[in-house]
Amino acid sequence: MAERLPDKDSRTDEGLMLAYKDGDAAAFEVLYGRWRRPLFRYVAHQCGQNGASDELYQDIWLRVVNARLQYEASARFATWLFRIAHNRLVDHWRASNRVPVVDIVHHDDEDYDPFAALPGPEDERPERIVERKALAEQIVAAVQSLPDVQREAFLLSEEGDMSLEEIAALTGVGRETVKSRLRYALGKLRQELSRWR
Amino acid sequence: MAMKSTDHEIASLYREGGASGPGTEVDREILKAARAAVAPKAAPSNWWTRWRLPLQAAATVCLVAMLTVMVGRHEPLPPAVPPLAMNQAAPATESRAPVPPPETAATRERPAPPPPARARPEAKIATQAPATLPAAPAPSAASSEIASAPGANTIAADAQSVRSFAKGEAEAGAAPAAKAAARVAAEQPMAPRAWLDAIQLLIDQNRLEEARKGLEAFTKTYPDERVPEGIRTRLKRLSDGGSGQ
Repeated sequence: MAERLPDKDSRTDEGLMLAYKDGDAAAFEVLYGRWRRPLFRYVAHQCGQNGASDELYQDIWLRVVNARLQYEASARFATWLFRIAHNRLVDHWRASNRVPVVDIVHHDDEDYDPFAALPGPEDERPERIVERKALAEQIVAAVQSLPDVQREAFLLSEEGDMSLEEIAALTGVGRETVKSRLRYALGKLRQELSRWR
Repeated sequence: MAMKSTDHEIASLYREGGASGPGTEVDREILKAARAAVAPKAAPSNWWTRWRLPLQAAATVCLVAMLTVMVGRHEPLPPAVPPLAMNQAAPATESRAPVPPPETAATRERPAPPPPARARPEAKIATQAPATLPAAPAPSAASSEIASAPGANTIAADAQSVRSFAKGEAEAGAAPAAKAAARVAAEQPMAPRAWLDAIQLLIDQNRLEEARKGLEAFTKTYPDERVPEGIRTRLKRLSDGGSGQ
């Protein structure tokens, strides 16, 4: 489930967007607060280029602002937002002739200890924190090294909180295809996780 | 509710790592743009801003009226002696003051050459009179002048070739446009510009239901693309039973 900051506004995302469409700038601020982190992570992990993600992220929100009059609450706001993000990313890749993502470098050497260089823990708790943080970074790196279609399915599910049907509609493939992509993606991530344990 | 297929541990680890969010500067820029987009337009701040346009319009109207009155007032009466006769009556100056050539649309627009300083005032009037006569527009004269100008044949040939090229293009473009319209009718996604053109074509062909479905699919696929107001308006007007033109 996408991690969204709690706010005191009881309105739904769709209600907030409609309010913004009618000129309520404060509604946009609430909406932005809810979706800024998930959308940024989606863009950053999809884009994988430092610098470009900020620009793309900003451009996507500006497109949301400019398309506000065309918004209709027939679909979830998240679906609409991530559809815009998806289209913008496709344009970006097309413009930059993106090369396929290469696999991350794996340390196959069994003697290699990723934590050996870390200072020795004072007690159990800091050690676990460090370990967990390192694992989290490895998982993120593994997500970024997934094939494009699997990564997109994973990110739309995690950051966009989208169902299989919604992802299928957005990416233009069948539900079963999305399900299969997600299964492969999770399989690879589990494999990565077990490698680091 | 999203159907979650992700492993809980992987999901929680994933959320703990990676980018945390955009920078504050990016946030500020986005929120600023969002506020500016819905902010009411600022009222004119001073009297000059408020009255500038009406004053400009009034001044223009006054100027035009004054010029019209002045031109009407200086409308020359039919001369008692034709200018040519006047010129003949002043042979002393004739040799120095050149007789203006027969007036054409082109020479009317050019300022008359200043007469020699020693020419008599009467002769000045006589030589300048044809140039100051208010001239009615003479499109036929102008066009005949263009036709007789050097290179006019080339221009005419170019215009003809442009016309025939445009005709050929229109004929050649009709088939792809029909194909695109068929794709819209079948609700197949296309590039935004081509899609909108195809919807427009469907409207032109009065295939309203297909056009409406095509527009729905378009806005679903490209939510941030601007749909031309003309398409929406015509579709609505046609479906309400209007002419659509």
